[in-house]
Amino acid sequence: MNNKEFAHKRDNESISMQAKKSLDNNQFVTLLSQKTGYSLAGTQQLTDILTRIITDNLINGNVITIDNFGTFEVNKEIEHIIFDPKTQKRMLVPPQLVLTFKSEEGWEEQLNEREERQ
Amino acid sequence: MLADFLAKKTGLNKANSANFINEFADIMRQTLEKNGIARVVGLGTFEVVDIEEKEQLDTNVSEKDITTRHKRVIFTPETTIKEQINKPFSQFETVIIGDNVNLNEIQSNTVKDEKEVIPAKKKEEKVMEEEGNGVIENVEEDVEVEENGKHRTTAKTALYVLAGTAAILLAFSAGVFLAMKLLKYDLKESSSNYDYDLIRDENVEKVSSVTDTIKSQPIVNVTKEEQNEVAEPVKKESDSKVDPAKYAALDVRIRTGAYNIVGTDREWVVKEGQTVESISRYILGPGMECYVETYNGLKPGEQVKVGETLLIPKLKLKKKSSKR
Repeated sequence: MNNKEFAHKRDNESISMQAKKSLDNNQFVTLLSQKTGYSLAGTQQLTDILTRIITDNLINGNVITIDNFGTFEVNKEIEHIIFDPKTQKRMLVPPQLVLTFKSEEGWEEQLNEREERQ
Repeated sequence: MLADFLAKKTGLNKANSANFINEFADIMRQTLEKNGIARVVGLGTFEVVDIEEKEQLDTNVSEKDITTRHKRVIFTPETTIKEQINKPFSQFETVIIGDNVNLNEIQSNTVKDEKEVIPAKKKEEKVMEEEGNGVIENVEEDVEVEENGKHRTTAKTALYVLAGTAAILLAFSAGVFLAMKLLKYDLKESSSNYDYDLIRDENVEKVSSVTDTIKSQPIVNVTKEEQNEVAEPVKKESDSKVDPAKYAALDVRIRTGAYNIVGTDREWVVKEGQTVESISRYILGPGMECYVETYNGLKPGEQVKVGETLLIPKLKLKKKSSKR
């Protein structure tokens, strides 16, 4: 995600947050439990283990791909200079490792087509 | 891959693990499509955002490109995960660059500074005060330059040490060579005397008395020195005068030889591998074994036993004595 996208997201954040409402953790686990047939506690445990496996692999620099969803990858952002319009000062941003997510190919197109139909 | 890890961790079979992951992804996707946002504890937040229509300058072709309004899935990881992933660079912070700092100048100065040797610590402090982290690369380069300088000086010192050692070795070997040469010269000189002596022994009458005196004098000196240095088991005895005519009558070689036996010079204990000839050659010179044999009552070419004591005769030139 580049800076422009981030700024755009920030501008629309207040509006989108009002309209969007995510499932909370309990709702998510209940839904997953119903679909997989495991108990609530078991599903919660499995979810925790899965997220831990994903994060551990990402920390180690591995690329994680979840079918039908997307790919997680750690990229290195090189050091760069940015200009802060508020303070009118230039800032040197150090290099950093950033976790990026790329949705599965074709998913975004599907979303766009669906919106166009509506 | 993810299914394998999950199966290992949980003990589920691979198919069940894969099924669980698929269901997990499905719910996430459905939630995102329905609600536009999905939050997973321990991972982060996924969101579907609208990207508005806008003009963009394509830097590759220098043409304006209009992007139409579209949807995009974005992901914001949890802060703890962000920090864990960025741990290798966590010590760096965003730094405000001062107004006076000209980045172009810094880049050009970097090249110049490589030639100047400034203590690394001072340089680092100075640069950090003035420009913050902006010149981290420059500082690192300078440190490298100084380190290279140190390497050069150590290499030079090593070269000097090597050269010094080589010079000392050369001088030592030259000294040894010279000493050897001098020694060889002495030996040659003495051996030539010995040879001469041999000839003279055999052809006494042909050689003039003057040359005899001159040439034979150093022989005695050299042999005496050698005796003192090498012959440890030798015991010196006080001169006991004997009649030279007695031994001259016993052996024709002495009778016709250049020397008279005038007494006992020393005693010699025979060691392993020594013969009368080798002993007499060592003490008196080549071709002088007849004197030792006659003085000890041995026959020509007779072997001596180890541990046997031989008497080494004291010799005197016949001509000298006759002159006197």
